[in-house]
Amino acid sequence: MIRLEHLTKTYAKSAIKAVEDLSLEIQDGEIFGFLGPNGAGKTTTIKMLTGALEPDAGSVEIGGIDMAASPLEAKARFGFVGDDPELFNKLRAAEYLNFVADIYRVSDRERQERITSLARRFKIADVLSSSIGSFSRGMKQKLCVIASLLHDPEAWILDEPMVGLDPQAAFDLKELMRERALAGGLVLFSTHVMEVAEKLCDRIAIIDRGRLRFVGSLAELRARKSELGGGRDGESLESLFLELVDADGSDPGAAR
Amino acid sequence: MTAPFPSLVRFFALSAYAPSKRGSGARSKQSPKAAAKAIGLAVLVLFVLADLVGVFIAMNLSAYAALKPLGLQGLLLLNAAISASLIVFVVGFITALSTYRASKADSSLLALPIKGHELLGAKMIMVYLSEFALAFLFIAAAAAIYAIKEAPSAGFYLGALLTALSMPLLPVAAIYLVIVPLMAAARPLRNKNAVMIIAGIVGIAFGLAFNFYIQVATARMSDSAWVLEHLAGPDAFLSRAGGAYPPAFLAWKSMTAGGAAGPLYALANLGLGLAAAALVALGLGKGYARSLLGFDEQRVRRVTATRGYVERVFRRSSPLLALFRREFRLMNREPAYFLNGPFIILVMPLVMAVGAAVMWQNGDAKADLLPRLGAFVAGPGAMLAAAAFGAFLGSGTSVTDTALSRDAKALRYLKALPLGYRDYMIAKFLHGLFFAALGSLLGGAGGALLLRLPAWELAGAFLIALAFSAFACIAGLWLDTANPRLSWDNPIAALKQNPNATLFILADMVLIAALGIASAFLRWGKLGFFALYFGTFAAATAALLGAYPRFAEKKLRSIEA
Repeated sequence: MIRLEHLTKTYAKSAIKAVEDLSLEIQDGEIFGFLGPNGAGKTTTIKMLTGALEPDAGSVEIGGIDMAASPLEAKARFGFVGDDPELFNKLRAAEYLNFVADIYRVSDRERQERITSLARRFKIADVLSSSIGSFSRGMKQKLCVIASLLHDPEAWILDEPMVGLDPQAAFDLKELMRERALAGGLVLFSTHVMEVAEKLCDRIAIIDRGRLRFVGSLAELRARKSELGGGRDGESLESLFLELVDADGSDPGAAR
Repeated sequence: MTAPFPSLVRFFALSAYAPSKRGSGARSKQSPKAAAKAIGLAVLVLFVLADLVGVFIAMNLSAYAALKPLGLQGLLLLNAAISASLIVFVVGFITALSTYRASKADSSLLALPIKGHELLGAKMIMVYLSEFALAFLFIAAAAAIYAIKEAPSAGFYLGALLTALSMPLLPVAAIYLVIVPLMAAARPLRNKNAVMIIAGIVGIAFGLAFNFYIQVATARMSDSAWVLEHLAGPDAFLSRAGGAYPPAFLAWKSMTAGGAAGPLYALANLGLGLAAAALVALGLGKGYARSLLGFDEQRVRRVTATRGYVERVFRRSSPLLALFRREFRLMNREPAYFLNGPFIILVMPLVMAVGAAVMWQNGDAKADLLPRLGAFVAGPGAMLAAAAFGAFLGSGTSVTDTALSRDAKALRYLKALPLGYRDYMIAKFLHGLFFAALGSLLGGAGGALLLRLPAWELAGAFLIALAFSAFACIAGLWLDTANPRLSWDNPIAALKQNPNATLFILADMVLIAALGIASAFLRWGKLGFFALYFGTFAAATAALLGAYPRFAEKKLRSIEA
């Protein structure tokens, strides 16, 4: 389970609050989508959630472990796929995977099994001895996905994971998300692609200007819009999302 | 509306030479830090220019004094024209190679309706601009001395200016005549790393040769017999080069013919250069454009992941070792980092060897140097000199003083991994220490071997160098942790444009020099010096290492990655 309580962050170089009083709870076995327009605060929230950024206020708990008090234990409980796969171009794919497995202290047998299985699934098994710099963006993204699962984490956090993936790899990734959730794992990902969130997520959160606008299932979002005089049956998440973030001055207290 | 070609020239010239602007103009102008940086840069440029001009003037003054009694003072100008052509050729070659495809923008220009010869022509003009500045320095230094001493007619000045304008043209045309077919034919060269390695090797070789030339020339120019043999004789290099290379002959005539003939020779030179450059641009333009296609593409190596392969490759190691390996691979596989970092351990001994070779060739090394330092060298001085060289090599690699800055793009990801910040930074220190030990060994122990010191003094020189270098490693790491450069687009900036690296290398050299001077005044024995320097730097290293992890952890936690 992931629990975020009253997270607030203002970057030192700007006076604007990137995230303000954000509270959220994500249960095991659930696929959770994190949506919002550019600059809404999605990435800042994920940075605080993964320990890359210290919040000004509030707390992060992963699997019951407090990030501020025990960061290494908390970080060992999730796998993370960042939004920029252009990181270690000078390393070979195998060196990068070994590095990540060493940091997570994965045994020889487990790393060999998982790398073999995942690399075959994402069809990069025959390029593991190549330099990452020679890979396409999609191949790099696949490699990051594999690296994030080497320690079989209970929570899986992905920032814009579909960018750069070919249709087959995107399908495989979505299948993997479903499998992990069915096996009791937690999957949290941010995306701009409404169709993906609509088809995949059990629940979604919509964030805008640093504050949560909505948390719940798609059905709950439609019901809420109907109560307010909008939202028809079958209305797409995309149009509901646009209505929600376009409505200036919407009540921040609407977040649930 | 500006025509495409001048626009392209402007685009390339601004991309290469315009100072980078960060943020809004008004804001950056007001920043005291930006102003201080601009002033510092201007002082540095002036210092380098003054240094170069000073060397050229000293050489030309000596040459004039030697040639004047023979009535051959005009050869000063021929020498300047030939030297300028040679230097422009080598420096231009490095510039042309490293800007052949300066960025992805060069390849994206191929999608625009631009003709190949316009693209190549604009690139040639961009290279020409910097080479003109270099040629101008060379010609102006010789011409100014000639003008002051000989008071020539007004045509001389016009001839000299036109010569400076025309001298880079043929070398630039020749450079592209070589590089374009080479790049078009050899696919492995069409890669920025390959380009950087070749340019680096050519640059280093040129630097060493230039160093040798300057040292020999400044030492021998006042020797009339040597000047007669090497510059003025019918079989001298200068006479043969002047005969074989028409632009040099025309340059010489344009400045010495006098009257209206001088500028006419200069115009002929200019015409010859322009025609050659235009022919190259027109003839090789298509080939240049084609060679930019697929630049930097790498071939993916495919190996079947058999069970044996997987079991052999994927094996566990400790997190600290994994972090150390990562540091080592990421720095030393990036040519820009390696050439400007650890490679100094190999280059500096070569530079020193050139200086030593010239001194030995001049036969004055031992005669002049040893008596001056006298008893100090006979006593602890030799061991300390070896230790100082080792300390300089071991501490000058920029490994730790840019360590966190180089990781700027990866920090967000690394901070999400369950790695201890202590291990992360200690791996960086160990990486620096590896090269510190190598530099101390090559400089300290190698220097001691050259000076034929006994074994215990060799060990002493090595250990002093190692203690100093280890101290420098942790001090450099502390500096870069306290003030990392985290915002950059090009990885080179994390090292070459990092104020920490500049500040650190200056402080490093000042400290070594100050200790050298202080040592000459102390009447201590070898053991006393060893105890002082080894003890002090080992203790300082231990103290900094003890306090550093807590500082690093706090700092890393607060970085907004």
